Formats: sequence, structure tokens, C-alpha cells
Amino acid sequence: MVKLREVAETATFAWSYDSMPLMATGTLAGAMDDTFSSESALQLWDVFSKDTPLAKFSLDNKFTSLAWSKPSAKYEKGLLAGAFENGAIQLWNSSSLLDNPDLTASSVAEYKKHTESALQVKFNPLQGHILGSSGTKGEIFIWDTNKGSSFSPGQAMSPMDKVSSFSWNNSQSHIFASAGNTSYTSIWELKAKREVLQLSYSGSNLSVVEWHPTESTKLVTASDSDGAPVILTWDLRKHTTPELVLKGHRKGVLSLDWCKQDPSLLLSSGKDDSTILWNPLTGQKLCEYPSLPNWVHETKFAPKLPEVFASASFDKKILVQSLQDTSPPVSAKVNSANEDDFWNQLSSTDTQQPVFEVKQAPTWLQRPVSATFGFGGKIVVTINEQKGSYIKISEFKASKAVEEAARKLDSAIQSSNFKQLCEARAEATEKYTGSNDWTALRDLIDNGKLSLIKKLIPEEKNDEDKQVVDETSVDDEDFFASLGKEKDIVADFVPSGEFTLANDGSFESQTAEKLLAGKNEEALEQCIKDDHILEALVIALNGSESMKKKVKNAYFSKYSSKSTLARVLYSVSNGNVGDIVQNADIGSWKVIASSVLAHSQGKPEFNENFVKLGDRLLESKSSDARDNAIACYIAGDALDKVSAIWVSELENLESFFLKQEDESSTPADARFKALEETIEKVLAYQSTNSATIGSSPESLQGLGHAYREYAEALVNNGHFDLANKILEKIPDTVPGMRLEKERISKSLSKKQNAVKPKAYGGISQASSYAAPQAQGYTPVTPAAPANGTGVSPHSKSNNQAAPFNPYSAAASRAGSVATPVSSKAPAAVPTGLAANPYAPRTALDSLKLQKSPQPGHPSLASSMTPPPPPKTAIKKDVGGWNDLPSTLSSQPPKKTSVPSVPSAYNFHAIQEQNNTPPISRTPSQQFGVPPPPRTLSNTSVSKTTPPPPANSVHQPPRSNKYGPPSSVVQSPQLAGKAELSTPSSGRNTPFNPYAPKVNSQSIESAKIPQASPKIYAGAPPVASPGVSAAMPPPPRNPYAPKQGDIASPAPGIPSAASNIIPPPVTNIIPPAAPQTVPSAYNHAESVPPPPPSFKAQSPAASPAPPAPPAPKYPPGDRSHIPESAQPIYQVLTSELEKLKTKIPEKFSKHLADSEKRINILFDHLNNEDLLSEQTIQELVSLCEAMAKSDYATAAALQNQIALEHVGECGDWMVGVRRLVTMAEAVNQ
Amino acid sequence: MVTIGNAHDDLIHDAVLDYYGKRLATCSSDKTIKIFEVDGENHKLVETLKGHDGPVWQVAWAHPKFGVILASCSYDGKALIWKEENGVWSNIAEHGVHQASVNSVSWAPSEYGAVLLCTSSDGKASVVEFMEDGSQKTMVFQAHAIGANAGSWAPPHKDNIKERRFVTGGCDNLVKIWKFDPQVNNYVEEAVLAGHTDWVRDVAWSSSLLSKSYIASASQDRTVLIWTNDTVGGTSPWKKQLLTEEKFPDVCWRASWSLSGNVLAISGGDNKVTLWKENLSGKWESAGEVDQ
Repeated sequence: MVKLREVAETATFAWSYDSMPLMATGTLAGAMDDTFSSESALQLWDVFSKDTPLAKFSLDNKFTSLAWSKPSAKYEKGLLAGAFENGAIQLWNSSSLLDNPDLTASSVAEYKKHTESALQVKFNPLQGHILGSSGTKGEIFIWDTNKGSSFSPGQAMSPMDKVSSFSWNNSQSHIFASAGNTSYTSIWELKAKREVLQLSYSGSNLSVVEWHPTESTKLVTASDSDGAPVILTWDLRKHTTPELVLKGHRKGVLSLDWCKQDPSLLLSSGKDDSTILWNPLTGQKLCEYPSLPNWVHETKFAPKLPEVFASASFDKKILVQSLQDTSPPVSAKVNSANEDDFWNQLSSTDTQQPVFEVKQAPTWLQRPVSATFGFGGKIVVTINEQKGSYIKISEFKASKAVEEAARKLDSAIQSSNFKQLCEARAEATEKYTGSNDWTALRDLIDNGKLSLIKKLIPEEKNDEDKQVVDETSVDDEDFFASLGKEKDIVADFVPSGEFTLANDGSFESQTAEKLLAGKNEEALEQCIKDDHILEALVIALNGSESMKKKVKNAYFSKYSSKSTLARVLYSVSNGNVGDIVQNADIGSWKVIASSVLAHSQGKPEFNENFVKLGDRLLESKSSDARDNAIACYIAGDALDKVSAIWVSELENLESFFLKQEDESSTPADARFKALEETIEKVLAYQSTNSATIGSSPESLQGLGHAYREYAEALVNNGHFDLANKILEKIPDTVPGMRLEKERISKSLSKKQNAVKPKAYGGISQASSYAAPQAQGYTPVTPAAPANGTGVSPHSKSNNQAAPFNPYSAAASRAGSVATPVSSKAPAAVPTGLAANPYAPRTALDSLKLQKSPQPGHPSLASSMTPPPPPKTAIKKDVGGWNDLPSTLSSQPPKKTSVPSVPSAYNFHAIQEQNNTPPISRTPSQQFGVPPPPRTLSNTSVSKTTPPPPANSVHQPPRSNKYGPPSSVVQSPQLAGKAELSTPSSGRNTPFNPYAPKVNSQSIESAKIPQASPKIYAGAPPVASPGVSAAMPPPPRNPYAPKQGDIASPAPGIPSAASNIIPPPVTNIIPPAAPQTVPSAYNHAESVPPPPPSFKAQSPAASPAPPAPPAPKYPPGDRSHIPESAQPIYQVLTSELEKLKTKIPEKFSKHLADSEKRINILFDHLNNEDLLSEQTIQELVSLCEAMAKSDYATAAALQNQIALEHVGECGDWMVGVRRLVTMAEAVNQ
Repeated sequence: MVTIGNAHDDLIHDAVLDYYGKRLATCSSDKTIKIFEVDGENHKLVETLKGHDGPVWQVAWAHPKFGVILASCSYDGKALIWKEENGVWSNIAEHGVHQASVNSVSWAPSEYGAVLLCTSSDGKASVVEFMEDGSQKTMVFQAHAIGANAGSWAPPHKDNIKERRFVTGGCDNLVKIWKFDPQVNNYVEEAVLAGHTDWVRDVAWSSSLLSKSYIASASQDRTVLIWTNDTVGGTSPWKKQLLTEEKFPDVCWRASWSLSGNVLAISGGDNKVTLWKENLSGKWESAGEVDQ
């Protein structure tokens, strides 16, 4: 039992209707307590908090009954009515009782109509001011407490005596029941003014009556006779027999209370000292509460708090307790082996506990309905209706603001073009903190990362800067042309006249002597010592480095503290403006910025300097400090710093939007708009190539938060794919990011069916893909399947024991057919893009995927799992270079922060982009066929359990060779993507042209058992450095030699793997690890370059980067260059070597770049792809001219080739051109 | 839209999606908890958890960083912790400090660790921390004079995760804010919000990241109050506002905020679920009704 309070009174009681009910007690008439006191008291208690009464009043008469009315307008705490043994009925204002020590002051009325004792008072539950009273001699009165009037309920059917029980019907205010010491219970009807029914039960009297809480025809009666202490339930529509007989009391029942809130709960108490809880609807005894020491004459639920009830006993005790008790049984509490202890513990423990026979929860705890929200804008509702219970999950889109933002952002992301978005924002009329950023971002997108800072630097400075910048420009031909003529000719000074060498002991003569003796160092010391810095400098000019250093130190230590010039000289002479950036007056920050531009560009500290400058600007808190700092940070590629500023302005933005009155808007929308603005800025900034994540992801924590919040808002409106794409921009290493990505991708994986089609439909291939396909690409289709599946044709032909010829024929045909189309290759790109959203996946998903119905293509599967090229890495490296080869843009290439810009990797990609010769078509075509990747990678999932070994086990060797090692490792991740992409291959119209064939083929190929490896076993192992030895030779190799110039893949692309790894797949992975990756990448270089991603990132670039061809030999391999092309290799190599020693240092980068480009050419030659015989011949002539230092001829030939064989000229041609220019400049 | 019929043999009291929106846990007066996998339009019953000796009122998924963990609470006075590992569900912990029905369970923001808040008909609230070593650290205190019906955690404080709060609602018609006091190493009453005229059935603290704090309280009195505070823990008092002047047609059983905290769903005893949003002038407007 959970005893709440014990009141030591022998009393009748009533509960108030308060939420925390008060209890009124009135000394019970007819009962003696141990003091034999004849005093009577009315007391009010707060049994939940106090042991002592709130109020106590003495009276002359003892109570027989107490009743508390519901609160009314007149009596805010209700009326309290007492019935007395002298027949009086007293009414008090209960709120006044609490405030007023004088009982009579609270008295509302006294009714004296009962001739002997009044035994019972009850307020009408529906008409609160109506009171019923019953007493001896069959007297029953109905009182209107408002008017003070009373009437008799009418004629009784038979004479009554003591009417000790009275109960109002709970749904019909004019019906009540009475019972007493006659054996029957009477039902009265006040409209008819008579007793309408009598209930009786043979063998038992019906002395207590109580109505059902809601049903008007049902009631319960109890017998106070010890012989048959039963409780009966009745339905008046069938009044002859009771419905149920509730047996459990051992002696007569004195009191009943039917719970008003829950009809399945009924309390009874009686002469057996017990209180019992019943379910009167089923007749079950639920619980017997601990017995009191004497008869329990009354038990009542607190009307507003039925969790609590009180039982009053003749033994001077009213016990207030809770209905429930789940505490462990006493036996569990008292557990002592020692007998004395046992009794001690027992006595100190509350041993009395209710005995629950049936655990029945009260209905007020049974929540009938519940709605909760779930991730992704879902709402789950449980409904319990009569016809049954069910659960419904629906989706809910809450915010128009989110919808709009999602639409705009989605299109920007799809096209990777944020310019439009920036322009729209920049044009917005409202101005607020950071609204200027949009203009800045637009410039940034147009003009590169230095555009902002240059704008801020004064004009004249600007020009100088340009010069400096242009010098570093790789593309400036004029500069190269003038390189040779650039040497300034200064006429040498020749002294004349006589002079003496007398040693007069002066400084001059001493120094001169030392100099004449060749003791230059000593002379230098002397000069420094005697403060002749100028002379010292002249001496040092021809001296050693250490001498120069010495003088410099002497000079700076002397002057730098007083002379600005010296200070500046210090930095300039060291080529490091760090000191200026750190210490120069920030007011002249523009000058500082120019100095950084002039002196640090291309150096590792360039970014650092700008970041430092930005920091100082921010600290200076000058006007415009923020905007200027942003310009500096952007120049310094400091995404973390820039975003930190933006994120810190979130709240300002939020309050700005809050103030924009918009009827349909909500504070949440305002917050979202603020987030949207911030995130879009960052995305726009990231869309330019310079933004880098930086090495400390922790610094992006704030941004990460904003990203997550934004993504969740999107997701909660159902935009999973978009959220996914946005999160891709932030590396997993940012705190909390991985979990969020996982969350979205996990939910997404489940949604795939629903989401996918939509996602695909909405994605860019709609435009860019569809168009090319319609025009140029279609003709190629026939060839596509053959190449597209790469492997399958082989497997097939093997299976059929078909000769090889058919294949090569097909390949060559494919090549020629494809020719005209080549520029349309981008088709592959959008595919990749489309797949993007699904990129990050977890192993868990891939497991799930196994269920997906794509049985067919295990073999391809593994081969399709490429390493996920980190998008950012690609983007960054590629970015600047991307523009270059296209020749369309005359703009100088952007300097990216990563000095090692052109990895071999990129060059391949670039090459692909520019070279569109017929032959290369074949390979690229393979990539142009989107479907295989999907099917493939999909299957890979089902096949591939995360650990790499699985791959090799499951898959035929050829899979190995196609899947570079890294791919194996990455497969789980990829798997996820694949999962999503899969279905699209079937559904998506753009793919259809290719899909069917490919699919069928790949399925066929899948059927081909492990036999194929065997067939290939004899294939010559082609050196593929990037691909580990574990990889068996590519199956293609056997054909390669035979095919000769036909289908040979670009050598630059390592291993056959690239063949298969379709650009789309590569593309899918963009997010991944950005900065960290490059190293992984190098390794991955042997893996196919993902040219499409170029497309993805810089749509503005040339229209059609063809997909990567299948290289025959790894890049760098020169052993297969045919005889005819050997001169090219030899001459160019030697020219490069010669140049390396001669080129001024500041152009060594350009040379390195050219070398890389020329290596691409060598790769082509080695693989015998791309270049036609004629081109090769012309190149040979060019080289011969170069060897003879006939640069004019060489340049002319170069032009000619460039003009006549545009399709074959890619990046390599730029390299050749530069080589010619440089060689000419240097050797003149 | 997914409809799951006949999931239980008796009334269903709660159904909650997990962190990813993929698994659904339901609980019922039939004393069981069921786990469904929901995939698009499909659903599949994966497990029925039995262990409670009474109706199960509420279930709550723990943050996935703690594993696949579900808490449930029941009329039997207990909260049980369930865990799935390798597809096998088991009951890993029991929280039995209450003397009456445990009416609500809710996991604290995951930053606090695996911390569970329970409220009970015995008027008490308890906070159990499940430590990594498998032990439990329990704090119990009287939250309401009788009948604590619901509890809900405040989102983690921006700067100080030690500043932990939650709200409870009880049969005393009150809503109370509790704050962790490290000095007494327990939760102490920070604010008592009076406004309802009948039992507070549910309380929900919005996870919104707006500068204001929002609490919704749904009551037996057929009203919903929105309590707001600009500076929780600061000097400004909580302001109350009726969600809608007009009373609901039936008892308001449940209030729940959308994940981003901007939409409020009110579940009424008439089996209607209505949705609400605040407009910029601070008034709450209907945002529709969930179709049944």
C-alpha cells in the first residue's frame, strides 16, 4: 500500500473537487472513541501535504454525513453540506471556511426539516445546487440550495424506515436511488414525483446503492448483512435479477463508491474491516487493500483524483492511500535470517500491502491516441477505435520556405552553378549584414579568388599586381616570346683617373689594404664594425652567401627599428612578407595585401599571410573590417574563417528575417531562411575551386552545426537527396557530421523505392544528358553495349568459343561510328551527377541491399567498384586546369592552393576532355554508357561484403583486374550508392537507349561461370604499376596487340580497370575525404580518372568532356612507343632535360607543367591511341626541327598540327607548344 | 502512407520511429512491445518484446550511438531497457524505483550520455544514468504531489551541457521545470507553471534551435498551453499562451513537436491529430490535420 496520510478521527468525510483535493471530516455520530468525547468537530485537511488540519471548527452536534459540491460561480470551492444526528442540515461556503475562523461566518444555510436524524446528504452531480437528503422515518428531501426551497420526492411505494443510502443518477438529474434498512432499493423519478421501481434480491437485503458513472440504467447495490455480504450489479431494463454478484466481503458491506472516471473500478468497504476494489463490469475482484482495525464505514475516491481514495474506520482512523502500488512485496523487503531481526524489521516496515489479484490499469492512464514525429517529416499516429487499433505513418511537409529554398538550391547544386543564385541574391533590395557578400561571391565565381582583394586595393597598386600575377601566368605566350629578349642591358661603369693607395691608418686605407690583400671577409668585418654598411654591401655583393647575410643582418639590426624602408626591405629581401603582415599598421592593410600579392604568391605562406591579415582586420574592428577580412580569407582559401564569420551572423540574420512581416511565415521559417542564406553562401563559395576545407575539421564545427540543422530541416520536409548532397560538402571529420550523413543515408536507403525515381527525374541529366543523347550519341548506341559492359562481350564470346576477331571488329566499328559524336560524350557525366545524392552509404545498407533483386551481374559488379575519388580533391586540382585546355577561356588559370596542381591524374582527365579523335572514341564510349555501372555496382553490393577478400573469393579474376585494390576497400561505401542508382537504370528514360542491351549482356555475362578467368590466364600480364600484382592481367590485353591502333585505350590511364570503372560511379563519390585524399589518390591514379566530375564541377567549361578511354598501358610506360614515334619521344625528352637546367627558376613550374603535358603525349604514343599516323609523322618533323634548333619551323608545324588535327590535340599539344616557345627563348 | 492494423491485441498507446525513421516500436495494453521495420510503403513485424506485467504506456529509442536501445514503461511500475544485437532482442536492464505506474520515458539529449527520465503515478520523477560499465546511477524525487504524467528534456544548452533541464506535467494540473543542481547532485524545481485546470497529460519541450524556448502542455482540460521563455534560467518568467482560444472537443492527450521543433501535433481524445505552427506575430495557427 502506498499510504499517503492517516487522519486520526472517527469521522465521516468528503472530498473537494479541487485538483489537489481537500478533505473535510465531521465527527461521526453514533460512534464512541477511546476518549468518550461528545465533542464534535468539522475539520478541513490537505492530506497531501500536512498532518494537521487546515481549519477546525467545534460544533454541538455530530455528523452523520458530509457532502462537497462542485465549484460554482457563487462558491468557488463549492458548498460543504453536513447532515446531523439532530436532523439538521448545514451548508457552508467552503472557501470561507478556509479563511474564516468563525464557523457561523461561513454558514450559508441551515435546513431543519428532518424530524429525527438526517442520515445522508448528496449533491446532484448534474445540477450542483440541488442537494438530496435522507433520514429516518423514510424522510427524503430535495433541496434547492440557491433558493433554499425543498420538496419531497413524492409518494413511496411502501413505507420506509431508515434511509441511510442515497445516490443520484449520474446522467439523469431527476433520478435517484435510496436504500436503507428495508430489504429493497428504491428508484425515484422527480418529474413523476414518485418511487418508480424497487429492486430486491432474495436472501439478501440491499442496503447500499450507487449509480453507474455514465450509464443511466445501471447501478450497484450492496448488503450490510453479514450473512450474505454481496454486491450486486443491476440493469434497470432487466430489474428482476442482478447482472453480476460480486462476492468477496466476509461481512456486511457498508459503503460503495463507483469511480466516476473509470466505470470498471468500484470500491467497497464493510464490517470485515476491509476495502476492496472491484471491476463491476466483469465482476472481478481486483484488489483487497489492507484491513483497518475496525469496521470501515465509508470509502470514497477523490472525485478529481481517483488515483487516491480514503477509507474511514470506526477505529479513529481515516486512511488516505493510492489506488496503485507496485512496490515489491513485504517479504522482499524483510529478508533476515535472524529471527529477532526479522520481527524487528517487520515491525519497522509497513507490512500492510494491498493484494492485487488482477492488475487492471485505470482508463485514465490509457492514452487512446498518440502522434509522434519521426525523422524525415514523418508523423506516426496510433488510433484506437471500436473497430480496432491501428498505426498510421504519414508524411508531412511543414514549411513552404523549405520547399522554395530546396528547389532553388537543388538546381544550383545540380548545375554546380551558383552564379545565378548569387545574382538573384545580390539583386535583392533588402540590405542587411552580409547582403553584400552575394556581390562578392558573384565576382568570386567570375573572376577567381583574388578578385575580391584586388578590388579593394587601390588602382595603381592594382596594375603592379597585375604584372606580378601575369608573370606567373602559365598561358601568357607573349611573355614567353619576349623571354629571350628580356635581358636588360646596362652599360658597365668604367672608372678613370688616378688614385693613391697610401696607408694612412684611416678606415678607408685599412679596408682597402685588406681588400687588396684579398681578405674580403676581414674587410667586410671592418666595414660593419665601423658602420660603413654601404661599403660592406658592395664587398658582399661579390662575396659568399654568408657574407651577404652578415651585412644584411648588420643593416637590419641597425635600421629596421627606425626606418620603415629598412623594415620593408627586410621582408622583401627575405622574400617573406610575414613580418609586414604580422606587424605593419593594420590601417594600411591594403598595402599589406598588395605586398602579399607581390611577394608571397605561389608560396606556401601565401594563404597563411592572407588569413593572418584577415584575422588582424577583424580584430581591428574598423569599419568594413568584416568585408575586408572576408576578402582576405577568400584570397587565403580559408573556408573555415569565412564560414565562421557567416555562421556567427546567423542569429542576426534570423532576427532580420523575423522582422520581415510575412503572414505565412513562422519563426522557424525565419531561422531556416537565415540558415539558408548562410549555407548558400558557403556552398557558393565552395563551388569556386579555391575554397578548401583546411586541415583542421574542428575549425568547421560551427559550420557543421549549421549544415546539420539545415540538412535536417530539408530532410524533415522530405528532401533527403538534397540534404545528402549538401552534407557531402562537409567532410566526415567535422564533429557530428558522420552520424548525420549516416542518418540521412540510412533513412534514404529505406526510402529508395519512393525517392529514387523522383530524385532521378529531377536531376540534371534531364537537360544535359537527354540532349546529347538525342542528337549525337544515339548513333553510337550499337557499339555501346559492347564497350559499355567491357567485360561482358568477352565473356560472351568466350563462352561461345567465338574467335576474337568479332570483337575487335566491333570495337573498330564502334570507334569509327563514334567519331562524329565524340564531343557529345558528356552524356556520362550527368549520370554520375544523378547518382551523387546517394553517395554516402554504410555497410549496413549494403547488407540490406542483398535483398535487392539484381541477380544478374556479379562479375561486373566487382569490377565496377572504383575507389571513391574525393570530390573536393578532384575539384580543387582540376579546377584551374579545367579552364585552361578548353582554350575557350583566355583567362589565366586559377592558382589553386595546392601547389602540386596537375597530378597525372588530372591530366588524363583533361586530355580526355580535349581530345576527341575518332579512336579515342571507343573507350570513351564505354564510359558513356551509363547503365552498366549501376547494375554493376549494385551487384557488387550484394556480392561484396565489406572485407576486401570477399571480392576476390566471389568474383572471377577479371573482376580483380578491373577493380583496383582501393576499390575493393571502398566497396561498402559504394555499395550504398549503387543501391540507389540501381533501380534508375531501368526506370530512367535517359538511360533507356543503352540500358536494355547492356543489361541483357551483363546478365549473360553473369551467367558465364568462372571459366573466363582461365581463358584469360594466358594473357600477357601488362605492367600496371598502380594496380597491384594481385591483379590478374586485364582480359582485354589479349586483344590489344592485335587491335593495333584501333581500340587501344589511352596509355595514360592505368590498368584495364579504368575501362570498366565508369565515370558515373566515380562521380558518385564526390564528397568523401577532401584534403586527406590526394595521397590516396595518387595511388588511385591508376584508377580511372573521373572526367565527368569535371563536368559536374564546372559546367561552364567546354561542353563535352568525353569519358575516359581505356588505357592499355599504365601511364609512364614508354616501352611500347612504336618505332615511328620514337624520335618524338627522344627529342622532346632531351629538350625537356636541356630546358630544366636553363630555365629561370620562376618558370620552372611552367616547365614542369609542360613536361606533364608532354608525358600525356607519350602515354598516347605508348598506347598507340588517339594520334593518327599522320599526326605522328608531323610531330616527328616538328621534333626534327627542334633538334636542329629550327624553332620557327617547329612552331609552324605545331600550328599546323593544331589546326589540322584538332580532334587529337589536347593538353599535350599545349605542352608541345610551350616547349617550343621556351626552347626558343632559352636557346637564343 | 503506411497503415499497420491489428498490431496488438489491445489498445495501442504509443508508436515511435527510431533515429533513422526505419524502425517503429509500438506498445500496448496487451503488455507487449512490437518492433516493425518500415520500408517505403511496406512494413514487417520483426520482434515482439514481452516482459512487462501490465499495459505498456510509452517507448523511446535511445540515440544510436549507444546501440539499438529501446526503453519502455508500464503500469507495472517499471521501465525496461531493451537492446538488439545481431538481430536478437533482449531485456538488458530494469528500472524499478517507482511505486506506481511509470507513465513516461524519455532519453536525454545524447550529449549527456545514456540518461533516461521516467515519470510515475506515484508523483515521482526519476533520472537513471546507464553507465558504460553497466551500472546505473539513479536520482528520484517528488515531482508532483500525485501523478506525474509526462516528462520532456530541454534541448542541450548551447554553451554548457552541464545545464540540464526538463519539464514534467502532473495530475496536480501543474507544469514544472527542473534543473540539475550539481551541489545537491539532483534535480531541483526551477519553475512551477500554473495554468491548466485539470490534469496535465503531456508536456513537450521543443528541440527548436530558435532563441526562444518552447514548451507545449496538453491537458485534460481540453486546452494546450504554449510556454515560452527568452532566457531560460535567466530572470524572465515563462509566458503562457493558449494554443487556441477555443477548447478542443476532447481531452488533449499528447503534444509532440516535429524534429525541427517548429510544428506541434496535438492528439485529441476524439482521435483527431491537429497540427499547429507559430506565425511571425507569435500567434499559433492551424497547420492542418493528420488524415486518418
